[in-house]
Amino acid sequence: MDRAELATRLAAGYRRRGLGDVTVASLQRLSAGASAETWRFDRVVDGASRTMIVQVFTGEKQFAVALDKRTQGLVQQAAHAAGIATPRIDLVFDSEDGLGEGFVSEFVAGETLGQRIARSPELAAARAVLTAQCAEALADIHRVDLAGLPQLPDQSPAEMVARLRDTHDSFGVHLPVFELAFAWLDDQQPAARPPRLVHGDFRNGNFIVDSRGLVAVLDWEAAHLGDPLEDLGWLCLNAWRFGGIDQPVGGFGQRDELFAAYAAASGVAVDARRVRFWEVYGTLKWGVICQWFGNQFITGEVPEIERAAIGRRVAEVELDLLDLIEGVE
Amino acid sequence: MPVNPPDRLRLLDAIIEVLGQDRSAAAEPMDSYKARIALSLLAILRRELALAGGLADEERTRLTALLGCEGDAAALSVALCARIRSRTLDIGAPALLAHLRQTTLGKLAIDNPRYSAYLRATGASPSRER
Repeated sequence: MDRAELATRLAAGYRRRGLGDVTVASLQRLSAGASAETWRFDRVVDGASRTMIVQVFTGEKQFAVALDKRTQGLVQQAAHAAGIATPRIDLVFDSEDGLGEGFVSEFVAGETLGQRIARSPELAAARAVLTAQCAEALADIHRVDLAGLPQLPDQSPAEMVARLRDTHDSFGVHLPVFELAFAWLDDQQPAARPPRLVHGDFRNGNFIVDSRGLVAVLDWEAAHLGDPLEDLGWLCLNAWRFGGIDQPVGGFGQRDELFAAYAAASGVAVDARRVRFWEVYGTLKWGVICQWFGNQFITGEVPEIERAAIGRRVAEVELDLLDLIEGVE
Repeated sequence: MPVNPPDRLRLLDAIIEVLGQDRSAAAEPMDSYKARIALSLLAILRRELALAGGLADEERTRLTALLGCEGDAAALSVALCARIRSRTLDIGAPALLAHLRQTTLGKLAIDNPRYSAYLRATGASPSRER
């Protein structure tokens, strides 16, 4: 979308909702991501200025169960209302805004690059408290009242595995390690539990950190209902340890500390075997996502070199799966 | 099947596409990002040319022993998938796991020998590089 048109429509959206006579200043595009365009602007109303972030859906195909941007905004709004540290939502676009799917949220300062969060010397103090803070944030998310949420996907573990299997099969690439992982997941299937809000993509790289630790949780596009321990498994994937393989929690912490802090915050003891199921599931899911990106290059759908390169990262996932299944630490 | 897709011809296509673009645009940040990826893919291809033939031979030998039938590595690998999926092979069998690990380490020797889990598995000195 054109910059001037976006500015006009944003101001109109504020006015129509009775949120004041807002001036949209310093509007600039930050990035064109995989599924969304991101902009920032200063929301000026009655002389007070606040930096805001706009995310607009760009129509690019997303992997599997990603939420549309409107639902994502509504989940983030509900999470913020429930007291979760996530940027406050100003506007969730509707058809009258003429902006497609998207939302406006408050800008929050801090570091989001996983590599720096895992390694930067300036964030050493943050890393010391980050594992416990992640556990507490997850316990808070898993307590959110489902009644305040929009309609969200609600699949059993068996359905989630079956769906991943279908996606993998659709590429026509035969990988014995992935077959082993699917068989292992079938054998280790956890019993169903009452559904909770699951963030779905809570990992190093999707939260904001400053010198005091966790500041805000981002990227709710994979939110769904399910087993809360899925989030703990996903947080431990080697893909987000940024080389710090001996620190399973995001490259900065240990599983024991995560589980203990989560149990203390949630009042529920953590079943480590169940987390292991979800870590294998998550690793396999990441592998299928890598295949999906690689396949976009192979089919010519997205003829970009980075897609080709991601296809060759599948081997990393294969080794991670073997290490998990064989218990190599 | 010693490596994962995209195959070497498709990787060359991607590299040629990037390097063939107008070099006057090379100062664009996006362009140097793509050039870095092209360089890393060239390194993958160099390792693949050096290693893939030998790895495929070793893989075929292991698969022949594991499955008790003949064929090339790719065909036997497809057969192995079917055996695992149909559970006509014990998924906890040490010979199976050893084969999968060897094959995967072979792929990573080509695709990313700096990967943390590869360094750990091959006993290389711990490194935070990937």
